[in-house]
Amino acid sequence: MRKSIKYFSIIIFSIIALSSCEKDFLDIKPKGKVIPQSTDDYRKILDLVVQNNVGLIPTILRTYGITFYLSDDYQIFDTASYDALLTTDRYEKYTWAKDGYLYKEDAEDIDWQAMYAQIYIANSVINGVPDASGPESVKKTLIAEAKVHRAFCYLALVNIYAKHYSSSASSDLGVPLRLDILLTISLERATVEEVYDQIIKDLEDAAEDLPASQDYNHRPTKAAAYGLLARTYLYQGNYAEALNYANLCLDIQDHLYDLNVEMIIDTINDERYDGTNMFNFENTFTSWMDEEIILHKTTCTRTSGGSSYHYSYMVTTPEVVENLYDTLNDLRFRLKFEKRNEDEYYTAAEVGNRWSNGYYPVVGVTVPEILLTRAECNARLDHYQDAMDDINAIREKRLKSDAYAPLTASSREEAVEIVLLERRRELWGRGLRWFDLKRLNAIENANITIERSFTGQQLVPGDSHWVMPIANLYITQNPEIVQNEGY
Amino acid sequence: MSNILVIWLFFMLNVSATVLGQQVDLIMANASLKDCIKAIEKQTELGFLYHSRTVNEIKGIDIESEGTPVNEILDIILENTGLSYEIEESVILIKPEILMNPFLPNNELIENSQPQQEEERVIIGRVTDNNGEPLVGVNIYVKGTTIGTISDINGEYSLKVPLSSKILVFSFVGFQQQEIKINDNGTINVILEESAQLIDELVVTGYQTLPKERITGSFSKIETEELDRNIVYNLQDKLEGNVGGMLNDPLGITIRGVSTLNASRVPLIVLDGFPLQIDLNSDDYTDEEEFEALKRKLETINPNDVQNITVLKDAAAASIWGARAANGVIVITTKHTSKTEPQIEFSTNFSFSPKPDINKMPFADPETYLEIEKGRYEAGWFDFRINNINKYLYNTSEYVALIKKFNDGEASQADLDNLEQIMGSYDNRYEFSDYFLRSKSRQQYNFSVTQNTGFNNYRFSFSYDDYKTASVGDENNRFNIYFMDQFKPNSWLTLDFSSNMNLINEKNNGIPINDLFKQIPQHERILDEDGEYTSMSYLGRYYGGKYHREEIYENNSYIPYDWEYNIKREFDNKNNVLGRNNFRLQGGITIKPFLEELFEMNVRYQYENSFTKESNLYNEETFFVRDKVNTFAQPDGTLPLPKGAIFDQFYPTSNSHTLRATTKLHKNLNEDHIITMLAGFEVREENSDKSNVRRYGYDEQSQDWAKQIDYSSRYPRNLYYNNSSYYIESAWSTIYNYTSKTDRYLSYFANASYSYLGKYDITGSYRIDKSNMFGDSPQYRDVPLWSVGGGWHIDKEEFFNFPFINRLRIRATYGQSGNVDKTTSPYAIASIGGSYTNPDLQLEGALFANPANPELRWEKTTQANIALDFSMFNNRLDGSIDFYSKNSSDLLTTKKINSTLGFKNALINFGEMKNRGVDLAVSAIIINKPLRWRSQIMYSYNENIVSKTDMIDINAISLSYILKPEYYNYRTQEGYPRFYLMSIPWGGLDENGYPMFYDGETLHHAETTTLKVKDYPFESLIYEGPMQSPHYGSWNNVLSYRRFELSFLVTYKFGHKYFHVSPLRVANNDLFGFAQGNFVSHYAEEFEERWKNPGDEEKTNIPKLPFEYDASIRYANFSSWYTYTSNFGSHQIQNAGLLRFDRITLSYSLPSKIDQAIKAKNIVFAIQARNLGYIAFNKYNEDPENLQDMYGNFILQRLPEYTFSLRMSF
Repeated sequence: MRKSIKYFSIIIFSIIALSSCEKDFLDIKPKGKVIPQSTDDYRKILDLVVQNNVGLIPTILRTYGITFYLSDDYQIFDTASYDALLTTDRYEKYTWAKDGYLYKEDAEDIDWQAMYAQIYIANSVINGVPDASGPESVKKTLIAEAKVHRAFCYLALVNIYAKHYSSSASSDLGVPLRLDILLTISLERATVEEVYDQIIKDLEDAAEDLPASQDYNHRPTKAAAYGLLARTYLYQGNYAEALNYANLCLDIQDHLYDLNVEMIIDTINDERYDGTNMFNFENTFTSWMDEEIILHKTTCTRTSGGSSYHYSYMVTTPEVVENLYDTLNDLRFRLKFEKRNEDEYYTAAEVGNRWSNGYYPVVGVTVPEILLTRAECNARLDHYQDAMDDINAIREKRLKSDAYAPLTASSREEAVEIVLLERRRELWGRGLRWFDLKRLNAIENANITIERSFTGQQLVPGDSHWVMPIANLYITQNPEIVQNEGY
Repeated sequence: MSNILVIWLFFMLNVSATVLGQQVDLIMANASLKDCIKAIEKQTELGFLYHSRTVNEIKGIDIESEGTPVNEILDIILENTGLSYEIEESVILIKPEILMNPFLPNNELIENSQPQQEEERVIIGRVTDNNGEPLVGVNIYVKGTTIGTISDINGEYSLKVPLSSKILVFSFVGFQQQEIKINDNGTINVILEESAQLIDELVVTGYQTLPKERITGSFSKIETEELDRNIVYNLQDKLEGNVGGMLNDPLGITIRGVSTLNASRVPLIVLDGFPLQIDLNSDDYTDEEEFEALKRKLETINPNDVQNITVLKDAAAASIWGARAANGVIVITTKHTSKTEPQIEFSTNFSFSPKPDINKMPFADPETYLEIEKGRYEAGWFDFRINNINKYLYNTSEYVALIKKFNDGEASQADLDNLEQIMGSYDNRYEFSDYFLRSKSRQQYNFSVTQNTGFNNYRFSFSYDDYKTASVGDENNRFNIYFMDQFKPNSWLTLDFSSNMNLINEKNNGIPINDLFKQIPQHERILDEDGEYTSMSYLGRYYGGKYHREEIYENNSYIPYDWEYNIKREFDNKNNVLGRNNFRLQGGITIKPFLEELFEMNVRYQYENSFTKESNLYNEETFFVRDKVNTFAQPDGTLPLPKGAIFDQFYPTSNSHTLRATTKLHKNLNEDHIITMLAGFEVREENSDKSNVRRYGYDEQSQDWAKQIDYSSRYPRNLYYNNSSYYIESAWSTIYNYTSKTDRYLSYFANASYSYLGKYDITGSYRIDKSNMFGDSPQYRDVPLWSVGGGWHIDKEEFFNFPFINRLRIRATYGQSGNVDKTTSPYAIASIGGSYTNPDLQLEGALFANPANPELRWEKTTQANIALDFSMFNNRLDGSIDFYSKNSSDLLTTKKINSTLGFKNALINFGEMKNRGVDLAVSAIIINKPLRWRSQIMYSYNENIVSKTDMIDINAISLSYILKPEYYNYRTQEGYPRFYLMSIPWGGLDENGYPMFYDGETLHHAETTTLKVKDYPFESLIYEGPMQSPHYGSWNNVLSYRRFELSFLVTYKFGHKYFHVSPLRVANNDLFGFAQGNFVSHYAEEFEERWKNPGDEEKTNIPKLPFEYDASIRYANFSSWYTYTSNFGSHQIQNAGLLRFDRITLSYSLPSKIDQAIKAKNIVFAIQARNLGYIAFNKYNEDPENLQDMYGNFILQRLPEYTFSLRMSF
């Protein structure tokens, strides 16, 4: 008996001895999945640009889309489309959440979700890359890219969910500023100024480390960082800085397609062509090759049961469109709109593969946007001629050649008016209109009221509904998040 | 009586003619005979059989001898005791001397024996079992006295009894006790019947074998005899009806309720002490696929090699298996023998099922088919297709194509009438049945040799079976060789080795019925009058209907192949073969370094290897090849995809290594204390990899293929609208792919039991499992899993005095076991490739599927079990009742987190679940002679509640997720069972044939309601009940009469619900959805009874079909409510209760005279019928476990299977 106990003990001791080498045995990472450890792995994280149609998966491509439904670009005019609208949650967006709460009870906010998901990806890269294996130069680029993605999201977030940047920015509530990947952390809202400071810091840091060109347009370049800086300063009303960065950006990338060359003009009035065959581009042309895109981003996709930022839902009235465009000569009219049927209403349909991925519009930084930003800054800084040069450069390539004539301006007001009108035409369906309306009211006292002609609802300047509410769910989950006024 | 007589029975393996020559050292002073015997037992491998009372009485032995042979020692110590010994094999019988020669005259006996108070006589006889085999060591005594003996190696006995004795009692472990009146002729031959318990006395946990009397956990054991009774080809089917608490239903195998939300639900399978690796073909598998994989794995074991199967159910039973035991453990033990003569066995089975009657499938008759197709056309549903310029986009039916031609003046009214006439009368099911269906058959041959030569115990077996399914072209055969050898060169060392090779060859060339019912219109002929292939429509090709395919081929000479589809042509050219090789090796060394008590060390190793090769050769005649090559053919005559066969190969392989060392200690401190301990560790590595290759333009003869295909360019495609260009393969992984995976586990475990006075037992176990799947934090990784238990034999207490109760024992256990979801990790894992690759850029991306979760840990299930075991009336009634309560916590569940953190939810250890239940098993011998009827009833009750999880978000997920039974993973809800059903309160049809439904008190008409689907309150739904049965069990019977045995099994399930399949859910019949502009291959039979005229609403619940409605209400809320209420209204809910006649077997054993005549033994013929029928408790009298269309697929009815079997040994 005693002997057996002795042997029993030997076994127990050998088990204990074995424990000392178990770490090596168990220290293999699960295969078949990637636990990012190298710059190659992180490269793939930042190359997630798939386009699934249902179910939100966080990608660095998909960002926001709510602004399409908030702005005056979207107008319905008949009962049928109103009824159709009523069955979806687009209705609440269409009426700026005035006629019912935007995010019911437990509902997610897909814009918020898409952008914070992208911020998580950016943060995991910014935090993880320094410890990863790989060349330092690649690491620098990856971190810089992630900072651009992060800045892009924060700029959209702060302009959707907070008051526009103004003198009270240091006390106005912005959005939670997340710079890490921790799950247990306070989500208190930073101020608008703090958010802007972070955006500018990230972009300035990134601009230093980014290359002038990249193989794919979803990978930020120096031009993307400059372009976004131009956008940021424009929103702040700092036209001098905006002009400076717009110039830096356009120095690197300024290609504009001439629609007279690229479009099959003959098809313009042929309704059988539903957009797919409108281009002379070889039929493999996609937004991925589009040289006008500086930074490729699209709207987010829907979650099940929620609505989608889908072009085919974007209706507007003939009045709006026909007042804005020269329907005979402006090639953008045919490009952006489709006459859906004889009921005479239009759906914004920049279809085909150009500038929309499937049906999800591009909201990233483009050459026309930066040209128009430069034009606006020039106009506001009294360089009318410079402003008109950019405007005419755009118009020359957008109007039918035989109808094109250069524009001139003789005052700041006139120049600004021309620029803003052209901006609306050119950037229709780019998701930027809502931000423009906000900034023009806030900074330039433009006093624009959005009217929903069919329902009669209005959004007047100063209304609290210019700022979107934060979904109740997030406040329930983290009560330190303070709701916006008026909700 | 067990405190009067103690039988020590040891069947030791070492049999040798020289047993008695073994030398022993025996130094004893004033010892009892019993002590001496035990001392000899310790030093030798001898077993002793004796009447304990007799032996205990003999004391005061003094002996001092060293190196003396056993026989001499025995001579010394038995001298003058009136006892003698007899040796057979390795067993020594100690018996009263007088019994040495029962044929001595009485007077001589008297002289030799001690002085008698009373006159005595001698009773002699033989004790055998039912089969006439002698029973050794049967206790025979005079009732009410201590006068007794035991039967010898031939089953014979001889007992001197007082003349006044009346009754002899025969008792033997595992058999029913018998009392026989002493007769005058002095010879009593007895046949003992096996005891009513189906459960054997020994229980195998996989690590050790324990006597049932001492265990505290809950086990179910199925013995060889019962396994033999059920003639099936898969072990899984052998479990049916034999394991209390096990539920076998369409959701898989569930032992004592589901105890996980996202991790595996599959029980752990242990074969001869080692877990089996379940091979899955993809990383992202469903529960159904995992159960399929389990079934495949079980098919690699020849059922004839199985000695017994033990199912471990509670914490004490299962926690020794630790982290993977929460779903229960199924322990399979292969056959060993104690027979010294070679046992040669042969058996063969033949089974068949009748050909399925496809016409019984619930489809509408041709008249209804035409009526609906025509109706849809007239309602304008096809107008868009007929008029649309991009007609190539659509898969238009022949009917619509002809109408188009008619409108264009290319076809006549007669053509149209002719087609309508065919549509209204022809049904291609008859043709399908002729070409593609047959009766199912299976035959099997088994051969085995088993022998125990004492130092060598081996088994060799061979089996072959051949299976032809009901689909012509689907067949497989299985070849299994098993060899086991246990070698015992001396008393302290045992070496064992076993190997199993299993080869499966499958041909999968049948046509699944879904190819017909989901893809091909009912009216299209398969072969024309001349027996030639027709050109058929095919929904499987979404773009380009039959008409367009034919047209484009005729008009474009650059299209290389004809573009017709024919199902028979496909069948004739299919060539899909699959070979699966499974190889398993086990080896072990057992050392018993001391002869004192039982102490042994054991090191075992298992290697498993499974290799599959699936080859699918699509030749040029197959539509797959022609379609693909044609699609990419370019007008300039180039073929980006070359002509020729496409050859796909898929190779998944897997292997595992397991090494285990254990040490066991068994100590009888003295009569009253028994201690058993076991400790050890196990190291395991599981590897798997998969690769696949596709070859285009493959030539079987030259084995050459097109190696220069341009996969990176895009080409315009034919038959797709606008000729937009596309890659030949959208995913590289189709052309070639390779993935591999390694999991490692390390476990330490120990258990111990202590038994006092044979009445009280305490058990405990402890185990730590570690795995590379968890992070570095020991806090979360090293969670111990443990159990404690106790047992009390009330029947052995002094105060217990109920003679009709033979056994009464209470046992209770408490402990923890675990589970793991292999798909999670503490690290922020990114998935790469596949759908995360941008198809335009061919750029690989990676997705964070889950945020980093450093707190990941094992799921835990804590289980308490309290049970009562009893047997009564001479063991004629035997049973047990177990009450259990299982609380699972730390279940991986998707918990909502703040989306601001980057994810709206995360898979974390958060959920909780409860299972409570009762398992009752009672078996009884209802009639004993001459007809013997043994019956066993099992009843289980299980209540399953998810007690903690995030509430599902009714706003964020649509009603369809909450209502569709197959979406159970999306709707785990606190306070509901894991699997449950909800329905929309149905309001019948209104006078226009529209569905109505309730929201609370409000009655809504589907067509006018303004209620949006997403606003329907969850509270208004009706909770209908669980999908899994809470009351289930079996009734198992064995009737035997002389050489006949009849057994039958009935299983039952009650208390759950199911959704009757709505005709609108039948594939493609969702007339609002997919099928709106496509042709529908078949319509559901129930449409025949649809609402047609006012007043029909009294008779039917099938609404007017969508096309019959006014066009203005076809959209918005209406279509949703129409579909939801028709499919998931409360009227569709049915009681899923079912009584199934599982099996009936009649067997006949040939008389031994015939046996001898043909030089064989134990020849048994059996006839068996399975799936004979059922009694259902639903309105449609349908089998709720065999629904036609639970997942949009059709299945053939479950048909009876008849089996003929012959078994014999030599």
